[in-house]
Amino acid sequence: MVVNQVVATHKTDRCILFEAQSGTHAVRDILELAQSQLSEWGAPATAAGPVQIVLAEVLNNVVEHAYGFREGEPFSLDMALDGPALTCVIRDFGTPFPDGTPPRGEAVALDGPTSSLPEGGFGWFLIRQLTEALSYDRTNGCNTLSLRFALAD
Amino acid sequence: MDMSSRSEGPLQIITVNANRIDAAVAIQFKDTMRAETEDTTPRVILDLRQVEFIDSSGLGAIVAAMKQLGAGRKLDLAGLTPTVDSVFRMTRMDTVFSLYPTLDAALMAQAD
Repeated sequence: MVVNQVVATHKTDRCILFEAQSGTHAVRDILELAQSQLSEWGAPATAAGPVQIVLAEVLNNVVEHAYGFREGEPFSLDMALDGPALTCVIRDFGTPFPDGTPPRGEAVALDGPTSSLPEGGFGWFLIRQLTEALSYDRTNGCNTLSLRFALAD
Repeated sequence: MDMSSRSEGPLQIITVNANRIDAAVAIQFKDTMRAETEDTTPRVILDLRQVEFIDSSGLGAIVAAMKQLGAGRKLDLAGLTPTVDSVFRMTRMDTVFSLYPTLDAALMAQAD
Protein backbone atom coordinates (compact mmCIF):
# COMPACT_ATOMS: atom_id res chain seq x y z
CA MET A 1 0.00 0.00 0.00
CA VAL A 2 1.33 3.40 -0.92
CA VAL A 3 0.77 5.92 1.85
CA ASN A 4 1.01 9.61 1.28
CA GLN A 5 3.65 10.47 3.87
CA VAL A 6 3.67 14.26 3.49
CA VAL A 7 0.76 16.68 3.41
CA ALA A 8 0.69 20.48 3.35
CA THR A 9 -1.98 21.11 5.97
CA HIS A 10 -1.94 24.87 6.16
CA LYS A 11 -0.87 27.51 3.71
CA THR A 12 -1.02 31.27 3.39
CA ASP A 13 0.92 33.51 1.00
CA ARG A 14 3.87 33.74 3.42
CA CYS A 15 3.86 30.47 5.31
CA ILE A 16 3.28 26.78 4.82
CA LEU A 17 3.01 23.85 7.21
CA PHE A 18 3.91 20.34 6.14
CA GLU A 19 2.97 17.38 8.28
CA ALA A 20 4.66 14.09 7.60
CA GLN A 21 5.16 10.55 8.82
CA SER A 22 8.62 9.03 8.97
CA GLY A 23 9.31 6.56 6.16
CA THR A 24 11.68 5.79 3.33
CA HIS A 25 10.57 8.58 1.05
CA ALA A 26 9.16 11.09 3.52
CA VAL A 27 12.33 13.19 3.66
CA ARG A 28 12.70 13.31 -0.13
CA ASP A 29 9.04 14.20 -0.55
CA ILE A 30 9.04 16.99 2.00
CA LEU A 31 12.29 18.44 0.57
CA GLU A 32 10.78 18.45 -2.90
CA LEU A 33 7.65 20.25 -1.67
CA ALA A 34 9.77 22.73 0.30
CA GLN A 35 11.87 23.49 -2.78
CA SER A 36 8.77 24.11 -4.90
CA GLN A 37 7.45 26.46 -2.25
CA LEU A 38 10.74 28.39 -2.09
CA SER A 39 10.71 28.69 -5.84
CA GLU A 40 7.09 29.93 -5.72
CA TRP A 41 8.22 32.55 -3.20
CA GLY A 42 10.93 33.65 -5.62
CA ALA A 43 13.94 32.50 -3.59
CA PRO A 44 17.07 32.40 -5.78
CA ALA A 45 18.65 28.98 -6.38
CA THR A 46 21.75 30.14 -4.49
CA ALA A 47 19.58 30.47 -1.36
CA ALA A 48 17.31 27.48 -1.95
CA GLY A 49 20.28 25.08 -2.34
CA PRO A 50 21.67 25.68 1.16
CA VAL A 51 18.15 25.51 2.67
CA GLN A 52 17.69 22.10 1.07
CA ILE A 53 21.06 20.89 2.37
CA VAL A 54 20.20 21.94 5.95
CA LEU A 55 16.63 20.61 5.89
CA ALA A 56 17.88 17.28 4.50
CA GLU A 57 20.33 16.90 7.39
CA VAL A 58 17.81 17.96 10.04
CA LEU A 59 15.00 15.75 8.71
CA ASN A 60 17.28 12.74 8.20
CA ASN A 61 18.32 13.17 11.84
CA VAL A 62 14.66 13.14 12.90
CA VAL A 63 14.03 9.89 11.01
CA GLU A 64 17.32 8.19 11.90
CA HIS A 65 18.07 9.44 15.42
CA ALA A 66 14.94 10.89 17.04
CA TYR A 67 12.83 8.00 15.70
CA GLY A 68 15.55 5.37 15.22
CA PHE A 69 14.25 4.55 11.68
CA ARG A 70 10.77 3.67 13.00
CA GLU A 71 8.20 4.33 10.28
CA GLY A 72 4.92 6.19 10.60
CA GLU A 73 6.07 8.60 13.32
CA PRO A 74 4.91 12.24 13.05
CA PHE A 75 7.04 15.25 12.27
CA SER A 76 6.36 18.64 10.77
CA LEU A 77 8.08 21.46 8.92
CA ASP A 78 6.79 25.00 9.17
CA MET A 79 8.31 27.49 6.71
CA ALA A 80 7.61 31.20 6.95
CA LEU A 81 8.90 34.22 5.10
CA ASP A 82 9.94 37.08 7.34
CA GLY A 83 11.16 39.97 5.21
CA PRO A 84 14.39 38.84 3.53
CA ALA A 85 14.67 35.86 5.88
CA LEU A 86 13.18 32.39 6.01
CA THR A 87 12.29 30.70 9.27
CA CYS A 88 11.91 26.92 9.38
CA VAL A 89 10.57 25.13 12.44
CA ILE A 90 10.89 21.35 12.62
CA ARG A 91 8.98 19.39 15.25
CA ASP A 92 9.07 15.73 16.24
CA PHE A 93 8.12 13.63 19.25
CA GLY A 94 11.15 11.34 19.31
CA THR A 95 14.28 11.11 21.43
CA PRO A 96 15.82 14.48 22.44
CA PHE A 97 19.44 15.37 21.63
CA PRO A 98 21.78 13.26 23.80
CA ASP A 99 22.79 16.04 26.22
CA GLY A 100 19.72 18.19 25.67
CA THR A 101 21.46 20.44 23.20
CA PRO A 102 22.16 20.22 19.45
CA PRO A 103 25.68 19.14 18.42
CA ARG A 104 28.26 21.88 17.89
CA GLY A 105 29.09 20.57 14.43
CA GLU A 106 32.87 20.71 14.52
CA ALA A 107 34.62 20.25 11.19
CA VAL A 108 35.67 16.65 10.59
CA ALA A 109 39.44 16.09 10.43
CA LEU A 110 40.57 14.95 6.99
CA ASP A 111 44.28 14.50 7.66
CA GLY A 112 45.63 10.99 7.97
CA PRO A 113 45.56 8.10 5.53
CA THR A 114 42.71 7.47 3.09
CA SER A 115 41.73 4.30 4.92
CA SER A 116 40.86 6.34 8.03
CA LEU A 117 38.84 9.08 6.32
CA PRO A 118 35.50 9.72 8.06
CA GLU A 119 32.31 8.57 6.31
CA GLY A 120 30.00 10.57 8.56
CA GLY A 121 29.84 13.43 11.01
CA PHE A 122 29.34 16.09 8.31
CA GLY A 123 25.66 16.78 8.98
CA TRP A 124 25.80 19.20 11.91
CA PHE A 125 28.82 20.97 10.46
CA LEU A 126 26.76 21.74 7.33
CA ILE A 127 23.73 22.78 9.40
CA ARG A 128 25.80 25.22 11.49
CA GLN A 129 27.64 26.60 8.44
CA LEU A 130 24.50 27.31 6.46
CA THR A 131 22.11 28.75 9.05
CA GLU A 132 22.08 32.31 10.37
CA ALA A 133 20.55 31.30 13.69
CA LEU A 134 19.40 28.11 15.35
CA SER A 135 17.54 27.29 18.55
CA TYR A 136 16.25 24.11 20.16
CA ASP A 137 13.57 23.44 22.70
CA ARG A 138 12.30 20.27 24.31
CA THR A 139 8.90 20.59 25.99
CA ASN A 140 6.35 17.91 26.84
CA GLY A 141 8.07 15.30 24.68
CA CYS A 142 8.24 17.55 21.65
CA ASN A 143 11.55 18.52 19.99
CA THR A 144 11.37 21.93 18.32
CA LEU A 145 14.28 23.07 16.19
CA SER A 146 14.06 26.57 14.74
CA LEU A 147 16.32 27.66 11.90
CA ARG A 148 16.80 31.00 10.23
CA PHE A 149 18.21 31.61 6.76
CA ALA A 150 18.93 34.72 4.70
CA LEU A 151 17.11 34.42 1.39
CA ALA A 152 18.60 37.39 -0.43
CA ASP A 153 20.88 36.62 -3.36
CA MET B 1 20.63 2.31 -8.08
CA ASP B 2 20.83 3.30 -11.74
CA MET B 3 24.50 3.66 -12.64
CA SER B 4 26.35 2.83 -15.84
CA SER B 5 30.01 2.06 -16.39
CA ARG B 6 32.48 1.90 -19.25
CA SER B 7 36.20 1.29 -19.39
CA GLU B 8 38.81 2.97 -21.55
CA GLY B 9 42.14 1.23 -20.92
CA PRO B 10 43.45 2.21 -17.49
CA LEU B 11 40.39 4.35 -16.95
CA GLN B 12 36.86 3.54 -15.83
CA ILE B 13 34.00 6.01 -16.07
CA ILE B 14 30.97 5.45 -13.86
CA THR B 15 27.91 7.59 -14.50
CA VAL B 16 25.23 8.11 -11.87
CA ASN B 17 21.85 8.14 -13.64
CA ALA B 18 19.91 9.63 -10.75
CA ASN B 19 19.32 13.16 -9.52
CA ARG B 20 20.03 12.48 -5.84
CA ILE B 21 22.58 10.62 -3.76
CA ASP B 22 20.94 10.83 -0.35
CA ALA B 23 20.20 8.81 2.77
CA ALA B 24 17.53 6.80 0.91
CA VAL B 25 20.07 5.39 -1.59
CA ALA B 26 23.48 5.74 0.15
CA ILE B 27 23.84 2.00 0.85
CA GLN B 28 22.71 1.03 -2.67
CA PHE B 29 25.19 3.53 -4.09
CA LYS B 30 28.05 2.06 -2.06
CA ASP B 31 27.12 -1.52 -3.01
CA THR B 32 26.78 -0.64 -6.70
CA MET B 33 30.17 1.11 -6.62
CA ARG B 34 31.76 -1.95 -5.00
CA ALA B 35 30.34 -4.22 -7.72
CA GLU B 36 31.28 -1.84 -10.55
CA THR B 37 34.87 -1.35 -9.39
CA GLU B 38 35.80 -5.00 -8.86
CA ASP B 39 38.29 -4.75 -11.72
CA THR B 40 41.53 -3.07 -10.74
CA THR B 41 41.40 -0.08 -13.08
CA PRO B 42 43.82 2.44 -11.52
CA ARG B 43 41.66 5.50 -12.12
CA VAL B 44 37.90 5.71 -11.71
CA ILE B 45 36.00 8.85 -12.71
CA LEU B 46 32.55 9.27 -11.19
CA ASP B 47 30.38 11.36 -13.49
CA LEU B 48 27.92 13.29 -11.31
CA ARG B 49 26.44 15.62 -13.91
CA GLN B 50 22.89 14.33 -13.38
CA VAL B 51 23.11 14.60 -9.61
CA GLU B 52 21.44 17.78 -8.38
CA PHE B 53 21.55 17.03 -4.67
CA ILE B 54 23.71 15.19 -2.20
CA ASP B 55 23.36 14.99 1.58
CA SER B 56 25.92 13.97 4.20
CA SER B 57 24.96 10.29 3.82
CA GLY B 58 25.64 10.54 0.08
CA LEU B 59 28.93 12.29 0.76
CA GLY B 60 29.89 9.53 3.21
CA ALA B 61 28.98 6.91 0.60
CA ILE B 62 31.32 8.51 -1.97
CA VAL B 63 34.13 8.55 0.63
CA ALA B 64 33.39 4.88 1.36
CA ALA B 65 33.48 4.12 -2.38
CA MET B 66 36.95 5.65 -2.61
CA LYS B 67 38.18 3.75 0.43
CA GLN B 68 36.93 0.42 -0.90
CA LEU B 69 38.99 0.93 -4.10
CA GLY B 70 42.07 0.28 -2.00
CA ALA B 71 45.59 1.65 -2.15
CA GLY B 72 47.05 2.73 -5.49
CA ARG B 73 43.67 3.47 -7.10
CA LYS B 74 42.08 6.87 -7.48
CA LEU B 75 38.47 8.10 -7.52
CA ASP B 76 37.99 11.44 -9.27
CA LEU B 77 34.71 13.35 -9.43
CA ALA B 78 33.39 15.10 -12.54
CA GLY B 79 30.40 17.22 -13.52
CA LEU B 80 29.54 18.56 -10.10
CA THR B 81 26.36 20.66 -10.10
CA PRO B 82 26.34 23.79 -7.86
CA THR B 83 24.77 22.30 -4.72
CA VAL B 84 26.88 19.13 -4.92
CA ASP B 85 30.02 21.19 -5.48
CA SER B 86 29.23 23.37 -2.45
CA VAL B 87 28.87 20.34 -0.16
CA PHE B 88 32.30 19.01 -1.22
CA ARG B 89 33.98 22.39 -0.76
CA MET B 90 32.36 23.26 2.57
CA THR B 91 33.39 19.94 4.12
CA ARG B 92 36.91 20.36 2.63
CA MET B 93 36.44 17.15 0.68
CA ASP B 94 37.89 19.07 -2.27
CA THR B 95 41.24 18.43 -0.54
CA VAL B 96 40.61 14.68 -0.65
CA PHE B 97 39.13 14.29 -4.14
CA SER B 98 40.10 15.89 -7.45
CA LEU B 99 36.98 17.73 -8.64
CA TYR B 100 36.42 18.51 -12.32
CA PRO B 101 33.61 20.68 -13.67
CA THR B 102 32.99 18.33 -16.59
CA LEU B 103 33.83 14.78 -17.65
CA ASP B 104 35.91 16.22 -20.52
CA ALA B 105 37.99 18.21 -18.05
CA ALA B 106 38.60 15.05 -16.04
CA LEU B 107 39.61 13.13 -19.17
CA MET B 108 42.01 15.91 -20.23
CA ALA B 109 43.67 15.75 -16.80
CA GLN B 110 44.63 12.14 -17.58
CA ALA B 111 47.74 13.43 -19.34
CA ASP B 112 49.03 15.01 -16.11
